Amino acid sequence: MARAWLTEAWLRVKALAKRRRLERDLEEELQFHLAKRAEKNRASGLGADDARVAARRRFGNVTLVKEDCREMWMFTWIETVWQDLRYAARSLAKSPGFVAVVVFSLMLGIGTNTATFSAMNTVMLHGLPYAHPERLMTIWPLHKEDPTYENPPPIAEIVDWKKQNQVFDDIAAVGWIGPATMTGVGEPGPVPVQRATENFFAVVGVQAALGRVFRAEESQEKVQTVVISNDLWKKKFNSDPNVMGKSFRLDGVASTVVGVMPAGFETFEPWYHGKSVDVWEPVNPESAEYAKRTSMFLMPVARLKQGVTLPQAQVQMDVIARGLEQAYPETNKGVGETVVPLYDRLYQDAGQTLYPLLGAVGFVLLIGCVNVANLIRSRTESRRKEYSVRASLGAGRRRLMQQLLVESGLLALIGGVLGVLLSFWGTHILRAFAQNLPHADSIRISGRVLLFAVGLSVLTAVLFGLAPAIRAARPDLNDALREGESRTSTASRGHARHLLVISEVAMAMVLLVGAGLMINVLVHVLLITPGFDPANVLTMAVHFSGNDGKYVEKIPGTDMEKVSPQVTAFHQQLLERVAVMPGVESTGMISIIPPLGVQRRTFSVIGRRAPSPEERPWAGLNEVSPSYFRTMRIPLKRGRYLDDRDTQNAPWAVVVSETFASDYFTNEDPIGQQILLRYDPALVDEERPRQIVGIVGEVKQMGIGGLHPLLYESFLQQPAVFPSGGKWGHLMGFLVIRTASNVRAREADLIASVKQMVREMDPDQPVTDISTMDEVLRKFMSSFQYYVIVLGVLAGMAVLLAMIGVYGVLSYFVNQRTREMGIRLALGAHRGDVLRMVVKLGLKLSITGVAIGIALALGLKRFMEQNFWLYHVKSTDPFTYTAVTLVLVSIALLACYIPARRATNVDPMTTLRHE
Amino acid sequence: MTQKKTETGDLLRDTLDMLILKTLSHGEMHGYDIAEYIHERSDQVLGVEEGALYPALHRLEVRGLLAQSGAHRTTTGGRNITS
Repeated sequence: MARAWLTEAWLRVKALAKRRRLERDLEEELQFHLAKRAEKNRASGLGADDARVAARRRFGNVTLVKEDCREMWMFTWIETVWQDLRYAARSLAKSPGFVAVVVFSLMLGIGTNTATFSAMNTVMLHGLPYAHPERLMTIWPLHKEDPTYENPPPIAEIVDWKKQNQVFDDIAAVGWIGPATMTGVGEPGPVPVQRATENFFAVVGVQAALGRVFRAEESQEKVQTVVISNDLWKKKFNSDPNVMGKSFRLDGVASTVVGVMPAGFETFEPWYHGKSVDVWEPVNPESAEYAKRTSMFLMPVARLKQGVTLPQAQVQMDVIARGLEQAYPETNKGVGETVVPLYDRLYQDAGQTLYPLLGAVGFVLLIGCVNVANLIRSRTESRRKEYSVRASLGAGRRRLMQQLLVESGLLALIGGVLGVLLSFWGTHILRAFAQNLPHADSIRISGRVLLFAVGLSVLTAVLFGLAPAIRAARPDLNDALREGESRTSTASRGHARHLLVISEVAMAMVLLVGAGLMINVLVHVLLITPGFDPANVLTMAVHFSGNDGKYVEKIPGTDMEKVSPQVTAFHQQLLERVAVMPGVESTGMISIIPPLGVQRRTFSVIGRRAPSPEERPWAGLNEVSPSYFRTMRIPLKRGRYLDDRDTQNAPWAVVVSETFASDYFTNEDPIGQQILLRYDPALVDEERPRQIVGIVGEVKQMGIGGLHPLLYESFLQQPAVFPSGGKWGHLMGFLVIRTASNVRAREADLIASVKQMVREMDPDQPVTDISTMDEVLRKFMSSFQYYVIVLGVLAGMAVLLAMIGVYGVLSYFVNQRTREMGIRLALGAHRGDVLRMVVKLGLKLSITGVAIGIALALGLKRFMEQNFWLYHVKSTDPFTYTAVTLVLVSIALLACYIPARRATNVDPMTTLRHE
Repeated sequence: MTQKKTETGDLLRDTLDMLILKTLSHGEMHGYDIAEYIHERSDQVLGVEEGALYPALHRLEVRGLLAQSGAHRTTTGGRNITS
């Protein structure tokens, strides 16, 4: 069969080339035929002319025979498709309203899906660019008391796992990606740096392109070897093949290049946002400094042995975890270890953002398709007569079906092309929306995405074109051709149409509930003030480096570090000088500005029973200048603010937030109580207790979402010696400067002056993170706001499409029943009755849809709770449900009203005369 | 391709095709001669319409069963079918 087809195709292609000869042959043969026939006729006694005419008469239409013969040689289907296309274009041009609605529905569906898929394709389907990525795992501690606790394991523990397991080939570890100042090669400036164990590159299966990777013992306190990225190699070393052995300083540490990674090598970090890295520094997990099991800044990366499954590995890690619990109860009590595929861990956030979106656009597409299916159905129904005529004139079933499929294909094509255009614009929005996801910058419409869009269009065309096509291909000739074609559609047909509309409304309702919840959350977030007045406040950071030895000194033989008193003196002097600048109302300092974060510290209350390690109370600790509260306008609730009397030698004071007071001093007066802070995760308490002297208003210090117990201590009351890892808050300092008038007007001036002052005090000290507080807040909000906007727009599209569906079905209903309504009106029915009849049907459909939608949304409760950030709003929030129900039903009423109005305007005489 | 169809139109068409192939198994012929031959051999019962004959000849040629160089003749494929 296939061979016969191939031969045929080949002969046809050959025929294309010798078409002229075929034409001549045919002409000759026909002439020959006619001549022979005429000759025969003459032989039987006719005159020459009569013989010729008789031959012609017998032959029939010569041109038609030629046509038929020629047709044998052509690719008929191509030509009939072309014919159908032209016919479809002509007939579609006659119903622009129908085309507009269909194309619009498809454009929205295909456009939104293509854009979302391009984001999915870039972010999620990226895969891990490593050898056998399916065997790469990460191992994460699971705190049974507090499953939301998200720190990586202590570094020393990774070494224990490595020694005790038989399921992994090897376990490596990588740290967070952060900036370090690079000096000694070209312009000094920050480069993104990541710490990694020596086996990291081997575990992910990527070798250095040039040179080698570093070794653990090459990590010394002031000297180290590093591996650099291909980018840095090109940028800073001009692709010098002899780069090995060159060195530079990284935050003061002498770093010698030993290797260059291949171009395109990608790394990752515990909370993955697709950042790139220019320099990898070695870290030695077996170093004595981690023996205390309190340093937790490396993420484990383990490679499963060939043939070992994840459950097997988990069983072994459970055993190891139990052993560690017994060996190190202080740090490991109640801590399990879970083995998670690396990919799942890295793309968990991205999935939480993108999957709800994919669901939403999927709904939009489905609603659009249902719309189109319904419209095409109505159209075929009203064109039944046309098909019957064509069928009785000899059109084959296949031909009729083909014509309908061509028509729906043409519609899908137009919708698809417009959809792709729409998606180009959509990817712009998605890029902004997904700014915190890995590879977000490279979201674009690729070949793969276009293929997806084309597939989607073809699929929709077949889906919504097939059913009507099959139906049209079986026309009941007698029925349809009978005059006065029956005007009432059968009940089952009506039902199918109604079910489709109900499903549309239900899907729109689900989306509307989702969007409504998010809008509710957004309103909540926007309504609750950040707790300070961000207007006209400029901020910039003067952070001291803890690594270059200028301000921090290790105390030999201990884990302690001595911080120079210069740190506080520098900050204090800077504050004094900025405060007297023209236009500055007041100025203050805090280790980390809200809502960027806080140091988490546990404490004990003096005079209370010592809490067990796992139930120690905690608070977010801020180190501030006394002027901070006034500058940020944080209200005092009780007691007093910190002030200049709180000096190093005075009793150490602390101010707490209202949440702190209500969380930890429910029935007592917190003022006057003394607490002892701990340098977590080190198990070292502060030397001196601090007394609570005041309570201030709430501030959103850790993100804009929730309120946390907060503590404020003065930068003047700090110890000289910190346990390792405890010094960071003290070294960091964000200036906050409140100007008397619009900060924008004075911004450039202020920034330049502060930079100048800092330069005068220490020429090497950078000023970073320059911004207004308004901007800081806006940046923090923007990706969430985008999310809400995108979801809202999608829900809006869904509602619009569903309402077009309701409108379409009611219009059809009214059209079908024009005669019935005419009779009713003629018999004395009120126009109000007719109106009611139509609106009743519309409302019945919409309300059923809404009810099903509510049930579906409640069923998706778990999904919403997992994937949506539902701050202070329950997933079953009755207010949201009521509001969106009202919105949807009132829009539905509007969609009913227009066809209903038309029904009441039916002129009884016209309809009856029409019979 | 057409073997699967059982509709009357196709059956008639296939019959005509078979008649043509059978006729040409005797040697090369022009369209006129084929028509005459079938007419004679069926004792003047079967009159082949020119309007059906010529498209049929071309159809068979497209399927590779006939070849034409002035007169029509069967190809190996065409002979296999009738024998």
